Amino acid sequence: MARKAHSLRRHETAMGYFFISPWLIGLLVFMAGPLIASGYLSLTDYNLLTPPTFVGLQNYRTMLSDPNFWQALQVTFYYAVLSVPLDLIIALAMALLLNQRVRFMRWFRTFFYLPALLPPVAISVLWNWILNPQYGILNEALGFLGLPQPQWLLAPQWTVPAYVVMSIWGVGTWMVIFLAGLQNVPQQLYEAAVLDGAGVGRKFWNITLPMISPVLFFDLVMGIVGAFSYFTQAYVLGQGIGSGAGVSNAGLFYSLYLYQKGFSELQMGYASALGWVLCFIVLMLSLLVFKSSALWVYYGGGDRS
Amino acid sequence: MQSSSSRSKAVALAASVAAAVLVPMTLAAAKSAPRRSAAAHKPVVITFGSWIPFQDHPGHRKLLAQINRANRGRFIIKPVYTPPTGYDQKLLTEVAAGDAPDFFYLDYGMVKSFAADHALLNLAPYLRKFAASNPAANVKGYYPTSLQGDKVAGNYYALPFIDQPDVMYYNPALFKAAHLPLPTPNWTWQRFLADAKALTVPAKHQYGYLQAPGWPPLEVYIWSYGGHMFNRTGTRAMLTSPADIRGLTLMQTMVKDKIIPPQSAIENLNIEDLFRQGKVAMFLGGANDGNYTYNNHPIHTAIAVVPRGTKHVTGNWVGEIGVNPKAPHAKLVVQAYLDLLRAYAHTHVVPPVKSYAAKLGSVYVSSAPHGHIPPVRVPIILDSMKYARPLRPLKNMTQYYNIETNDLYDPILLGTMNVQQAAQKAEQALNTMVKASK
Repeated sequence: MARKAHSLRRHETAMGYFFISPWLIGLLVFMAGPLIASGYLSLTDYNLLTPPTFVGLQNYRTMLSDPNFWQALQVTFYYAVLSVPLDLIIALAMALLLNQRVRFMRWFRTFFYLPALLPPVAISVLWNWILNPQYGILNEALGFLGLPQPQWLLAPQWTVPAYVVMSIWGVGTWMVIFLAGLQNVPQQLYEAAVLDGAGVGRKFWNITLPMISPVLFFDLVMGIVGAFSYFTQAYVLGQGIGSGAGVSNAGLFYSLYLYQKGFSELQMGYASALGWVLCFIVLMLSLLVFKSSALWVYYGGGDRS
Repeated sequence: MQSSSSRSKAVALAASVAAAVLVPMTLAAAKSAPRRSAAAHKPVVITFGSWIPFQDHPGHRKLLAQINRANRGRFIIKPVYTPPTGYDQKLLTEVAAGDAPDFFYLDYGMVKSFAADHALLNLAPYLRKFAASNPAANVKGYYPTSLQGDKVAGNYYALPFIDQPDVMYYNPALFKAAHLPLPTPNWTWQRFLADAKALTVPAKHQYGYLQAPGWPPLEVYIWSYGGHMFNRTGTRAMLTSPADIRGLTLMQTMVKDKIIPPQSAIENLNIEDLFRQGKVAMFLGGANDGNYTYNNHPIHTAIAVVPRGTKHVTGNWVGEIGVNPKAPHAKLVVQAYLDLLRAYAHTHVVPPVKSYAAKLGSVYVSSAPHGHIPPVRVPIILDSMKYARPLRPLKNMTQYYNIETNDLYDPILLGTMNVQQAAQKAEQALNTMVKASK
C-alpha cells in the first residue's frame, strides 16, 4: 500500500514537472542560461567575433577608472532621484482626483491613462519634437507664460530634467495601480474619521496613505528598477545629439552605456560586467526599500507574516 | 486503474508533443534533402549584404540582373538588405552568429577590426589569380587612398566600391541674389567666410553654410591648414598643434559670425535638405550625393572645390565590400564579388579604379539630368580626387567619433569651450584611446 502511494506520488511529481516543463525550459534557456553566461563573460575579454579570453576581474577594475562609467552612474542616479518621487507624487495626485465621484469620470480616467499606452519609441520621437528648443511646443508654452526657455537636450544641465519631464507622460500605469489601491480603502474608515472631526488632510495622512502604502511600496520598487534600466527613451532621444548620449554625455544613462559598450564597441565582457554591477545596485536599493518597508508599509490585519 | 489511465494519458501527451516536434523536423529534412542533391545542377546562390534597398533602385537591380544573366548556370547574386541605421551592429551580429551574407558592404574603418577577428577573407591569392582578367582585382589600378583601409599585414581584406570626395555644393541663385561672384578653384576659407556672411539673411532664416556635429568633418578644416589629427605613426594626437588650432578656429568663426544655423534649429532635421530647400547657400557634401533633385523635383545647384587654407585638401568617404571567410564556394563567391565591383564602377561617383574614374562623365547617375554627371562638374570632382583624404582607419572608429563629437564639435558649436580648451580635452581623450587600443 505504502509502495503504491509512493509510486503515485512519484508519478504525480513527474507529471507536475512535465506540465511546468515549458516554463522551466524557458527559465533555463532564456533566463538562467544568459545570466550564468553573462557572469562568466564579465570575467572575459569578448568581442563576439573571437572566443572569450579569461581576464579575471580586469573589467571590474577598468570600471573604477572609466569616467564614462561614473558619468553613467551619476546620470542614472540623478534621474532616479528626480523622477521616481516626482512621478509617484503626480500619479498619486491624479489617482486621487480620478477617484472622485464626478460626471464623465470614466472618460477622464481613459484620457489620463492613454499616454501610458503609447510605445516608448513613439513617445520618444514625439518628445524629441516637443523638447526642441527652437520650435518645440514646450518652449513655446514656457515663452507664452514668460518663463525661461531652456535648451533642454542641447544643454548638459537640462538634459536629465528633460527626461524627467518626459517621464511624467508615462505615469498613467502607476496612476491606475494607485486608483485600484484607493478604491480598496474601506469607506467606513473615512466615515468614522468624519465623525471624529477629521478634515481632508488628516484623512489623507491617517487613512489613505497608510491604507495604500503596499501599493506605494510596489510602485516605488518598480520605479527604482525602471529608472535604473531606463534605455529606450535615452537611446532614441540621444541619437543625433552628441555621441548618441546627449551633449557632453549628459544623457548617458547606465543601460545606454552598457548597450554602447556591448553593441557599438563590441566589448561584450565589459558590458556584462556593467550589467552585473547594475544588477547589484538595483538589488541593494530594492533590499533597502524592502527593509525600510517595515517602518512605513501597513498591511491590514497586523503583521505581514 | 486510475494510475494506469493517467499514465497512458501522459504517454499519449508525450507522444503528441514528440510528434509535434519531430514531424515538422522530419518534413523539413525531407524537403531539404532533394534540394541538396539538386544543388550540384543548380546555380549557386550568393548572398550580397548591403544597406541599399534594391527594390527601390532600378539601376542597381538592372546591374545585378546583368551579372546574373552573364553567369547563368553558375551563380545568382541575391541582394540582402539591412537598413542603414545600426548597419554595423547588425552585420557584426550576423558575422558572430555565422549567418552573414557571402559578401557585404563595410562602412569605412571596419576592415581592420574585422580582418583582425578573422571575419573577412584574405583576398590576396584571389587578386593574384584574377588581376589580369578583371580590373577590379588589380590593386595597382586603384587610387592609393581608396585602398588605405583595406590592407592589413600586407594583405587585402576588402576592396572599395566608391571613393567619394567631398565637394562644396552651392546655390547659384542665392549667390546671384547677393551679387557675389561664383566660387573659383582658388577659393580660400577667408573668401568663403566673407561669402557666407553675405549669403546669410537672418530675417529670412537663410544661412551661408551649415555645420552640424559630425558633418562636415572637421578634419577637412584641420588638414587644409596643414594639421593632422595624429602624428605620422598614429601614436599621438596633434590637436593642440598651431595648424590644428587654426583649423578648429575656422569652425569656431562660423559660429561667432553666425553664418551657420544654431544647433537647436537643425536638431532632428536632415541637414542636407536645408541646402536643397534653399535655406542654406553652401553645403559640403559627397560628390556622389549630386543634389540634383529635392522631393523628386529638379533643383539648380552647382559644385566647387573645397576652399583652401594653406593647402588644397578635401575629405573623402570610401565604401568597401568584403567577403565572408565562411562562405561556401569561396572561388565562385570572389568571382561574383569582383564582377559586382567591376559593374559598380559604372554607377558610383567616383569609381575607385582610376581607369574607370577617367570616364566619370559616362557613369550612370539616376538622379542626374540625362542620367549622367553634368560635364561641368566632372573636372571639379576629378581635381578633388587628387587631394582627397580618407580618415585614418582606426581600430575603434566609434570611439574616435564619440570623442570628436563630445570634445570638439559640441563644445565649439555650442560655445561652451574655447578652441584651445576643447582641443586639449580631445587630444587627451584620443591619446588615451590610442594607448588602450595597443
